[in-house]
Amino acid sequence: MGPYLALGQCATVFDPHLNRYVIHYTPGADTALLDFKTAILTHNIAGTALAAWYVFFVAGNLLSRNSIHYHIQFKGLIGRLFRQVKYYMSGMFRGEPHPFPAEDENKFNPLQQLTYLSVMAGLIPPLILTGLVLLFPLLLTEWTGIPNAIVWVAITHTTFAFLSSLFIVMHIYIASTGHTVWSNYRSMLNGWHTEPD
Amino acid sequence: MNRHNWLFFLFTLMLLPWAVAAEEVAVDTGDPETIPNTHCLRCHGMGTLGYRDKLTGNLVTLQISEAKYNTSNHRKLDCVACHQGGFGTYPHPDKAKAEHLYCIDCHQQDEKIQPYHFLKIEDEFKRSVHAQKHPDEFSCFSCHNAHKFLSSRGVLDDEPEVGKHLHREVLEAVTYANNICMRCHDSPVQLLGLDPDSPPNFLRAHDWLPNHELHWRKVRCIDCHLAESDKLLHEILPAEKALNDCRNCHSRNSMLLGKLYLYSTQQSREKYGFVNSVIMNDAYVIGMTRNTFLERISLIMFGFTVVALGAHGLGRWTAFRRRGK
Repeated sequence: MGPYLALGQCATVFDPHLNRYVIHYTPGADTALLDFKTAILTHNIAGTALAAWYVFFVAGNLLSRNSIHYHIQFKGLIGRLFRQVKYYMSGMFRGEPHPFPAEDENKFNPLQQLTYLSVMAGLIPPLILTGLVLLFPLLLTEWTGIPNAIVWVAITHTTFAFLSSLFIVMHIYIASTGHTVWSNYRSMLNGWHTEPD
Repeated sequence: MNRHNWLFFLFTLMLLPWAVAAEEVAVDTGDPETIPNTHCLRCHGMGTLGYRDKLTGNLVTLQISEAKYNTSNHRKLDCVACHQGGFGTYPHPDKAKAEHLYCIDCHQQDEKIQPYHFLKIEDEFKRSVHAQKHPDEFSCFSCHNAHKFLSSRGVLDDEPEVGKHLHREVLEAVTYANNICMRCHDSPVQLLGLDPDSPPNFLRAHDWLPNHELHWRKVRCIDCHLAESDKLLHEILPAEKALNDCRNCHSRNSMLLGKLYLYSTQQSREKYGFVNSVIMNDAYVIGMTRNTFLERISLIMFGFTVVALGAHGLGRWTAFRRRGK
């Protein structure tokens, strides 16, 4: 089940981003990853799937114990963040052990925890909401009476989409910093975190 | 004959003496060359003036909206400048009513309106699918009502202050232009009259187009049903040759900038002074409307991130190899 969920998640996350570039930059037929019509269609499908996935994510966290990983302990947070950043900037190069190894009750390090919470609570919801509004562009003008309201929705959507692209690039890279280059990618697929023997 | 028809018959009989009197006593309305517009509008200004077309069964109005005429490109013309020969009497003689007006009669000679390229427009019209398929049924007036015609460009260049006032907003121009097409293409009676064997089906022909209603509200039919390079907007293409590549509009060099937004873009460029001025003009077109500032910031941030991560990865690899040794 895990691999299928992970692959589904990958599809809903990556597809909108790839198509976004096709739609936003509308390259010529010879350079396009996809033709414009297909890009619009798959972007709409994948974006809607991402919205459904987000509902699943929120429901899953509300109904299970997984939400404990997103409970930030503010006391001493700055110090813990500093230790994590220091590890990425220097400790990692000297082969030092990870300052916050993944545990059953705390699978994220402080920087991961803060970033994931910001992304899932602050970045993805406006991205999905503006995307849904853009699926029905006439409704916004009818509801608000503002003729060019869609412009600002589109700019917001593009900005948040760009920020999520940045997050994904960093996320993919940071995932390579496990005890081996591939160990965290394997964890993403099978759901099991492994520690070195 | 039922009761209602009897009543109608009696009522008609009662009116007959006045009708006969009117027919017999033709009113001389004066020298046709000097009849003022107000004189014509005494009748033609009435909203109820009209007749039922025998062919289509539709009511055809003979009303001229004074307000619309006075804001049209032709507002400075007297009615009799075009409607010559016999309109000085009422009822107008059949010979006068059978007049065959032709825009080029006036428009080919006038130097003031040379910029509108009427002769080229006529050539384009003759090559259009309408004129090719139905040369006898189509004329300028099939689409254009000379009594309220207002060019998308507004009025002539020698009246910039009036031109500014009369200039059509984009959405207004879209509604105006599309209503011209829809008068026939949304009317089975009109289409069957022209093409009884295979009348074009407007909805089926646009099945492929996403967000139908949005497109019909925001762009003109002619923006796709003309060749991309056609700036005079009169060589309407057959359906199979119409533009159906989304990228024609949804790209940075959108053809809409040279068509629908031609005049509004010029105006807003003058006003806002940057290429992306369409964004300030109530228009958003995916792929066309871009905020160059946001794009640059995005690219810089993205490039910086990729370089930083690449450097970090290289550092890790180097450190790993050094530790291994």
